[in-house]
Amino acid sequence: MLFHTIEFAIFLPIVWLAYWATFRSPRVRTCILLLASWTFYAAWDVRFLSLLVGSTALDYFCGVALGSTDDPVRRRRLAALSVAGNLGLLGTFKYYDFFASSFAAMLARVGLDVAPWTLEVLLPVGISFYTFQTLGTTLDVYRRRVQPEPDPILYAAYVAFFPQLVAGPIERAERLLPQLRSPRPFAWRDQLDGLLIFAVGLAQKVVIADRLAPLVDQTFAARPGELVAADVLIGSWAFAFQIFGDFSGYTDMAIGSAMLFGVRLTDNFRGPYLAANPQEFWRRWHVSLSSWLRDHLYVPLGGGRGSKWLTARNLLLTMVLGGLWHGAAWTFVLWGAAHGLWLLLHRALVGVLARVGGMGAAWRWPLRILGVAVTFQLVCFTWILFRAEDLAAASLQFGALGNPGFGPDQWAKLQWLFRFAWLGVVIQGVQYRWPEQLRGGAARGVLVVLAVYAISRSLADGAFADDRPFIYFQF
Amino acid sequence: MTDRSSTSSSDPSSDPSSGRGPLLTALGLAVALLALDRATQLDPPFEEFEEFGEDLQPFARTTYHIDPAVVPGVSGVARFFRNAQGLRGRIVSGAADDVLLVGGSTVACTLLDEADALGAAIEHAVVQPRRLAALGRGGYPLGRLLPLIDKVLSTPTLRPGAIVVMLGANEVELLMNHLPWTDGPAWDPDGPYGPASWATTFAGWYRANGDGRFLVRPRQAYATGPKRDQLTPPQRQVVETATAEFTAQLTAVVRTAVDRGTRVVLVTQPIAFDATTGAASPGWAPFFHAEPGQGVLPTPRLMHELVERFNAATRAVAASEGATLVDLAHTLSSCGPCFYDQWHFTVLGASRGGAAIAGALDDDDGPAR
Repeated sequence: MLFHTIEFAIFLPIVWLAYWATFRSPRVRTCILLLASWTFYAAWDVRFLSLLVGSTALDYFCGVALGSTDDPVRRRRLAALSVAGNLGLLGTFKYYDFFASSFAAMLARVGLDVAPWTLEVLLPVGISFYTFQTLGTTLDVYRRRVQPEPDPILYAAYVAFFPQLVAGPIERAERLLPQLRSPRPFAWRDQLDGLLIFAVGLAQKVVIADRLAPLVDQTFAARPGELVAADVLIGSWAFAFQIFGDFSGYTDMAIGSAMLFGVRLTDNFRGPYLAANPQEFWRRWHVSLSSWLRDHLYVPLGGGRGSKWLTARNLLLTMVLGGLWHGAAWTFVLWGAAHGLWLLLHRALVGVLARVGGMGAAWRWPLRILGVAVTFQLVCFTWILFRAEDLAAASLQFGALGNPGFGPDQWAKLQWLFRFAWLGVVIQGVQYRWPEQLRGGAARGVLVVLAVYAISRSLADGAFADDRPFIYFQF
Repeated sequence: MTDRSSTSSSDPSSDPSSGRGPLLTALGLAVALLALDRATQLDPPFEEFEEFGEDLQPFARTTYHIDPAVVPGVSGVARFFRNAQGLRGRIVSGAADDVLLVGGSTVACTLLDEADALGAAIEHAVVQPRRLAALGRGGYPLGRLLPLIDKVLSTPTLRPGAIVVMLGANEVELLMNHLPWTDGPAWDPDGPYGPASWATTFAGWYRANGDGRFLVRPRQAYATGPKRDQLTPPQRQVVETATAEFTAQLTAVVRTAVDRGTRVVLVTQPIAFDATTGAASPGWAPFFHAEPGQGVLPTPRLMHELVERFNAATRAVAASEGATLVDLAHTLSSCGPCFYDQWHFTVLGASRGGAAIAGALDDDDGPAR
């Protein structure tokens, strides 16, 4: 069930009515949210509901058991059980075939022809998101950052909360659980804000992402000799705005939907393409994942506390695994590695600049603008790895950067890109200036204006005809 | 990624806005949105055709995974791209080296890959570089293409240096579906064979990721169903009227193009029927409205006769108006492998047809002959 479909337009009001009708009865209210969320998930494939329930049960058990013991060995075992269970699920359903095929290919290179034994199972939608959410919660309980949730229904509703179930934001227990336990009472202001944010998210999906998608698809379906450098650059810029519109749009629809139930979700985007360096980019792009990786991978590995080589290792490992989280393919591994190397280079450069002394205040804005432009272009180059079907396709794109040429075809593509991407720039400007869900004061006026424009533009473009699934659903 | 305070711990009830001049801020954004919207919508540097139909949607992409047993002579994976204008191939931008191919699916080359289509074959074969775009609409006879041709020729930012027009197949297709081929009751214009249902005649044949199996049923029907080798006198009268109308329309197109400085190359529609031996291609599969066993179909010989009537009209218009003629019907008359059905090109057919058209384009660089 996609947010921008008629099915969801029917589903949401029914759940909303049932939820607020039973608001005074916490047990019933939570049961309704849980049932609605499981129904939402089962709408894709009812068989995979068992995985969601299994992951929830495992981490509920581990969390409660962790809360009842101070024995460090037992606590370590329980945390390990959660890690093994969740990564086992991911490994089986997401990564097994990739590693089996890669291993067979490696053996073939040394002359051993082995047919890989693959499972060829469908990837359960949202598995990377909910396993990370439940695993993160158990690890937080293990580190005594949060208390375990004793109520299994509430815990299950927290894991499966439908607005953010299949593509995040990856919520933290300390933020979402209290809101589900004691939600804000009904307020028209929340309802209005929720609808407005949902509308802005919808426009990002149908006006920006879905309208740029065909241009991107064509660029990445090209064969050798069919592209010039300008085609590749325009295609990568278009993908940058497509994936932003798709994912930020999804996130805003999730945030807006959650607000209709009195729940505020975490921000995931803060104007990422206005970042002036890679470190800032990762503070603005998919924030809930980058903070999860930081807290549950980078910091436990040692973070920046050891030697510079250890820090580099930790950073690179975190980014490579972050890349692999997105998909079981070498393109994602390389994408993560490229970002890791870029972050390392940036750290080194910052260190050198600190030693030679800072530049004058007059240089602040010119340097910031240059930084934004360079960062955006480098992010776009890495998006090529992210979007390409395989390494050969990525190599074709990078190879075409050596073919000069610009004609009416490229000019027309550029025009098409500008026609839809500028709205993405404006929305990122708003995210940058008014983070945390556009609340109050000037932000509400901005939100109203954006939402009115978004709705009118979406209707004028007839963009609802295309019901492309969200890109991040495949992760 | 660096150590920093957790983003998830921020206070959800905090209000980060400055609150200064909220009305002015919102107003400023509204003005900026409208200005940017207008700036990117007005006067695009290229014209579009989407207004003429959803099939001309910009940047549409279809990939066919074709079963070679059903559609021989084409690439196994065929990509069909539409550009920013909804055309196949290059943008037409009013440049002298722009060449626009006009016609139906035989021009669009639906089941051929981008690299194998007729436009690509012409671009590959011409000596003097040209930019080829194809305005090929499956099932469209000349009458339904006229508004598009008119837009192309009347818009300076579109008008190409040359247009290449290959017609006839859909005119015959239209006749097949409009004439009372059935032996049942009298022809009902509102019935399944009448003009009222014409729009659905071709709908659904081509599907995204199709493998070409839509050809199987027409082929089966052709192999087993009853066929007719002669037109009845009333049918002859309809055909005469149709060819006269076609001639008038084509003449008007050529005159308009020449008046506006666009060169016209007229191409006859080849068909996979060898008139000397009477043999039809084994892939012969004209689309028709009837289900197997319901209708009476024209034999390949009669189909050839019908196509030739329109080809004769094309030759006559070329001669009378001084347009360049490429007689592909003659050039490919005995090339069975050039077609995967009765008239759609294989890679070989597009290559040979493209070479012939390229030769004509290179022969004379003048606006019209």
